[in-house]
Amino acid sequence: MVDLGLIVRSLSLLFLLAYVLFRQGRSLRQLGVTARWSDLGLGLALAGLGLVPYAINDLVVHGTLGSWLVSGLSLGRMSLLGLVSLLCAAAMHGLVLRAYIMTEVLALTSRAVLAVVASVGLEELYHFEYRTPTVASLLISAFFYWKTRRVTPIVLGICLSGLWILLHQTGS
Amino acid sequence: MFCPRCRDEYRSGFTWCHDCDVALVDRVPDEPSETASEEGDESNPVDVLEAAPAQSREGAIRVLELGLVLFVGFAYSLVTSLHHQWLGATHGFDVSGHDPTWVGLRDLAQGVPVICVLLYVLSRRGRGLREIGVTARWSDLPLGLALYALLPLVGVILLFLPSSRPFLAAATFGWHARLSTQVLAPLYLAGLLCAAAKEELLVRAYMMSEVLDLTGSAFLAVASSTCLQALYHLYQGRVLAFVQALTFLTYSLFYWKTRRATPVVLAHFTHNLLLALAPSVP
Repeated sequence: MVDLGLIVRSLSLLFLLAYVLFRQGRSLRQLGVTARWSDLGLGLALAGLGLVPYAINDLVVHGTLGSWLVSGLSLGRMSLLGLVSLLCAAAMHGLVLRAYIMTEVLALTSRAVLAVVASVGLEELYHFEYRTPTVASLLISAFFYWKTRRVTPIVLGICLSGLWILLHQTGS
Repeated sequence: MFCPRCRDEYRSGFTWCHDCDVALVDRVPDEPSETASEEGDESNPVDVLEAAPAQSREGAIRVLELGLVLFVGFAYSLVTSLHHQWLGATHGFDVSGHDPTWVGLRDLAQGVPVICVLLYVLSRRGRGLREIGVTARWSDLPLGLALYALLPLVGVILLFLPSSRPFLAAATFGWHARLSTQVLAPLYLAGLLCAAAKEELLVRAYMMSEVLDLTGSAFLAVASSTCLQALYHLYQGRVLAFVQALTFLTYSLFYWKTRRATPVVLAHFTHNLLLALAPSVP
């Protein structure tokens, strides 16, 4: 049910974004949705970079790497619904919280710092319980978007890192 | 170059009339003949041919907008409700045991964004809440209360359903039960009003207006609105959802006849308030 709820909520926001863009005579392409082979490589790099703050956090706080990084692969937590919800959530985070907010704040204020802070700040509020590693991870993707204006690698990065966690997480 | 619609003349180099959103033509189009106007035949065949796909596209956009508003507003409630019904984990509408402040804040957080989406969609069409029946008249209050007062009639039907007695105890004769004055907190009341407004503005006023405009069928408008609302109340169990459907049917018929949304919102608010005031369902 959690997965289904996540899918419905993510799709609601994505449909709303598509409608707002349509009404403004724009499309997802203007937000930086691309379909290039380099997206995959960049996505992999972003996924790896995004997990580094969590690894550092584990080493600093616990003195050892978490099971999510070192344990063997397990398909126990994989399900079709889980994968679809991961994809929807990644698309929602990338397109709405990163691409749309940053594009609009940049267009309205021309201040990159404000765009990055608004995007990361909102998403951090959304994940209030994770704090520092999440902020660092989000800053990486926000800077990436600011520099490249490409959102597909960000969505792929979120998907791949989520997939990694799903495949390596043990227990409930 | 001339605009075939507004007939404005453009300098060379211009190819598009941005006011009318049409391509310019080389010569000024003929004036519509007076005879044709008198006979009620105001449109020339070219305009009719151009207007047909445009109207069809507009209709498709309106359907998509209706879908979007309902999806954003109720998809989650619908999925949750069906899931609870599927699992047999139904529960009542009782809100006791929750902090009224948080319940109020939750209702506001869930209702305000959805109403804003509705306002945005309406504004993009050059419409507002007034066009879907939101009024501010003194008669709204007595009408709303009268509409609420009709609901005990639904209770008469329920007498034939033994499993609906708990509902009767709270909903129809709830004011005999222990009163919970906690729910009179301003934030809680604001949340209740917002929740009622969200449901009635979207599923009643907006959905019925659009279905009526798009299909011209009052039956379809009333049925779709009532059924959707009953479906996302299935979490209360089939019997209570059926009872709720009768209430929603009453609201839908009232809206269809009067096209006034405010009394329906007030009736829904009163209904929810009295349920919250008497939460001790056996």
